[in-house]
Amino acid sequence: MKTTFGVLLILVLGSIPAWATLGQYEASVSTDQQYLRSEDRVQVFQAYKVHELTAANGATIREYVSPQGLVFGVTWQGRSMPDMHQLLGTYVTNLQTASPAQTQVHHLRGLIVKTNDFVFVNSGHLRFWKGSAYVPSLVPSNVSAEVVQ
Amino acid sequence: MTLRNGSTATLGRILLVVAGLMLLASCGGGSSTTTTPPTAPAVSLSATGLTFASQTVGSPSSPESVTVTDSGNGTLVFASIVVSGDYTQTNNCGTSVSPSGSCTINVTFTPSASGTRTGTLTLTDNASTSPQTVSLTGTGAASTVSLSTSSLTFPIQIMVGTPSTSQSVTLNNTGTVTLTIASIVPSSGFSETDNCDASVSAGGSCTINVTFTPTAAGTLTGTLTITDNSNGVAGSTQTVNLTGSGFSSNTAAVNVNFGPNGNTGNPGTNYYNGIYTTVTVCEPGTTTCQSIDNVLVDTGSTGLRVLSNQLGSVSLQNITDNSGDILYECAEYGDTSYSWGPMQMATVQIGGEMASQVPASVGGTANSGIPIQVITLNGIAPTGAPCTADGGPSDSTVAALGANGILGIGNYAEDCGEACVSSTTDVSPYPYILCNSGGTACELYPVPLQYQIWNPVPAFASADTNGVVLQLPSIPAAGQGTVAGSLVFGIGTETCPLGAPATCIPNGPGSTQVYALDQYGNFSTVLFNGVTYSSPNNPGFLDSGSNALFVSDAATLGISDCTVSGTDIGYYCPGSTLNLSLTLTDLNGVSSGPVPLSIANALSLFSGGGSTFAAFNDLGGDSGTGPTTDAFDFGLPFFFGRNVSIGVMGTTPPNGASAPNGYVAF
Repeated sequence: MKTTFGVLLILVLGSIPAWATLGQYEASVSTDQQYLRSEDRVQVFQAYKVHELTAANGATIREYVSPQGLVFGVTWQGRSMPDMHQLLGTYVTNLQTASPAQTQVHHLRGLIVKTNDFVFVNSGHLRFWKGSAYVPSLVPSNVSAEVVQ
Repeated sequence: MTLRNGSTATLGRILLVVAGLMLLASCGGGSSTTTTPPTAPAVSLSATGLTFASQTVGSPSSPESVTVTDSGNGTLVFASIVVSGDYTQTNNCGTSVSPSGSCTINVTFTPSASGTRTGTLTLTDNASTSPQTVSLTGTGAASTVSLSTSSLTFPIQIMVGTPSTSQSVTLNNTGTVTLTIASIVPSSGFSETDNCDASVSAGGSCTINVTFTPTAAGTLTGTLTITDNSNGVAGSTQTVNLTGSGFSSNTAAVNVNFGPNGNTGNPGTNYYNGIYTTVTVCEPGTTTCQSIDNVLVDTGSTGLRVLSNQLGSVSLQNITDNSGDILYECAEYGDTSYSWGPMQMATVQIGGEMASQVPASVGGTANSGIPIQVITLNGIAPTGAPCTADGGPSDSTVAALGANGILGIGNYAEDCGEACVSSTTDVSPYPYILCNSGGTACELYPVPLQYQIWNPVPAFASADTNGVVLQLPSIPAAGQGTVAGSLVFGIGTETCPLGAPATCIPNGPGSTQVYALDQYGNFSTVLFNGVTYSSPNNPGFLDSGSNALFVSDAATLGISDCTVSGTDIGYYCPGSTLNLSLTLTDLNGVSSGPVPLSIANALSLFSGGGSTFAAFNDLGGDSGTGPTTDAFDFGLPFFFGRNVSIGVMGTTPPNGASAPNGYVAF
C-alpha cells in the first residue's frame, strides 16, 4: 500500500513572472513584488538605491540599482535558495561555468565564485541560506562592492 | 412427597401367602381358615431434600444425613442407593431394613465448580414407592482471578543489559474464597516483583511489577504466568503477554577520513574532514534491511538521504498523493548543487537506535517508517521541475556526494517545517515537488510535517530523542590520518546504571554550557578577530558537514587563499598558524567567553604526514567576500576535542534554559 497524504492546495499557478535580474533594468522589480506578494521597501542612497523585497516569513531579496537603472548586485536570505536563473539572468552561466572548478568538494562548504566580471557567494545550512552576487563592472564607480550585503 | 405403602402385592408376599395356606391345610385338618393381613415395607425418609452450606470448590463438605425408616410391616430390601452430581454418600443400610428399623445415609458435597450445584439421592427398593429421591443442593465457592490487563508493552526501547522502568499488573480476587498463589513467573528477559503473598483473600488484590531487561537488540515477546487455584482448580494459570524492544547502545561509531572516494592525492579534490557513520535502512515492519556505510554525519541538515544504489534489496514505498503522483525532493547544498530523488518511507537504525515511525503526535503509526530521500543514481530533475533553479549541478553519485548518503542530525525534526505545510515558496521555492508517474509534470507542493524528511533522532523509539552529542577526541595541530569518535543519541537521557555495557555513554549535562539558537538556527552573535558576526545578516553557525572553519576575513587576518597550479582551492594558507579565539552569544544573551581557534596553512597540513592525513582541527577556508556580508561557518575542526550537543527544536536543554529553536552545548 502506498503511503498517501491528503491533497492540499496547489499554490503555484501559471508561469513565473520575470524577476528583476542582475545586469538588467530596474523596471521588473515591481513584477517581483507581485510574484513574491512581498513588501518593496526602497532605500535611496547617494549613488545607488536598494529595493528590499520581504516575504511574509522574513525571507528577503535585495536588489541594488545603479543611477543608470541597472541592477548591479543582488542578495538573498531565506529558508531555501532563490531561483538563480531568475535572479542572475545570463550571469547564471558564469555561476555554472565556475562551479566545477570552485566546488570540487561539494556539500562540505558553501560556494564562492570570484572572477573579474562576476562575484557570487552562497552559504548556510538547512532552513537558512544566504548569499550575494554582483557584477563588478556595473557597480557605480563611487560605490564599494561591499554595499551588496 | 409422602411415601405410602402400596397395595400391589409383590411376588415375595404372594409366595409367603401360598406357603401359609399350605401349612394351615396340612395342620388344621381343613375345617377352619384364618385371614392373615398382607405384609409390605414402606419407606419413610427424614428429609426430602438436603441443602449444603457454601463450600470451596474441590473440598468435601461435612456430611449431612438422611434417615431411612421401614414404616411398613415387611422387610425393606434395597436394590441400590446412589447419588448424582458433585455428591457422594456412605450408608449403613446394608441390603435390607426390617419393619420399624432404620438406617442412615450420609451425603457429602464436593463442588467441582463455583455456583449452584444440584444432585439427587435415589433409593431403589422393594417398597411400592420405589424409587424414592432426595434432592441435593449446594453452592460451590471459588476464588476468581481478574487481571488489570492481558498484555504489557514497554513503549520505549531499552538498552541491552539495563532494566526498564517497571509496568504493573493488578491481580484481583473477585471470587468468594481465598486465592492461593503457587507461583508468578516471567519469561526470560523480564523480571517481576510483587506484593502478592501466597494467598489473596476474597475481594483482595495485589500488584505485580514487571521490568524488561533486554539481553539482545530487537523485539522480545514473552509471558508472565501466574499459577494458582482460581476457580478451585489447583494449577490454574493466567498469562499476561509481554512485549519489549531492546537496543544495543545509544551510540554510533563515527570516523573522520577521506570517505568513499579515498585519498586522491589532490588537495583540490580530496574530501578532508569528512565525518562518516553507518546507517541501516529497512523496509518498515520487516527485517529486510541494508546497512550503508560512509554516510556523512551532518549537523547542518535534517534527515537521511541515501543514494538509490546503496539500498541493495530493500524496496521502499513512495509517498504519493491520492492520485498516485509521487513526492520528490530537491535537496539543496551550499555550493548550489542539488540532489534529486523521491521521498520514501523507511525504518532507520543507527548505532542500536531505531526510528520506525514519526511521532504519533504528527500522525505516525506503528511501523509506518519515517520519510527519507532516496537520491536517484545519476538522476537529474525532470525538465520543468523547479529544482535546477539553484544553477548548480546534480549530485547523484557517490563520487559527487563524497558519501553514500547524508545523515542530517541538526536542530530540527523535519527538514522544512511548518512553512512548507501551507505554502510552497517565500522568495524562493521550497524543496518538495510532486510529479506524475512519468515525471512529465511536476509542481511545487505543500507537505504535512508527517511526510517531510525527518531527522531520525526525534523519531527514535527510545528515550534518546532530544538530540545528539558528537564526541571527537583532540588531535595534533599537524593533523591525523583518521579519527574515531562517537555519535551519542540523547542528551542527558542515559544514566548508564551500574553494570551497563560499555556502549552506554552517559550524556548528562555535565558542565557544558547551553547556547540557544535563534530562529534561523544560528548563534545570535559571534565575535571573532574584532568582527561581530550577527544573525541573520552575517551569522555564525555550527555545521559538522562543513569541513573547515569558513570565515571571510582574509584581509584583516592578513592571509590569503591557497592556490594549487594557479587555482584557488578555497582554503586559507597563512604564512604561520593563527591562534585566535571566538566568543559567541546565544539567543538568551549567554556568552561563551573566548573559545580558542586556530587556522594553519592548509597546504602544509595536507602535505604533512606523507599526505595521508584526512583530519585537521585547524583547517580554515574562505567563506566569501568580506566579514560584514558572509557567514562564519564553524565546520568540523571545531568539533575535535569536544563533546558537542545538538538539541532538537522543541526540547528543553539540560539546564532548563529557553531554547525554542533548539540549542548547541559544549
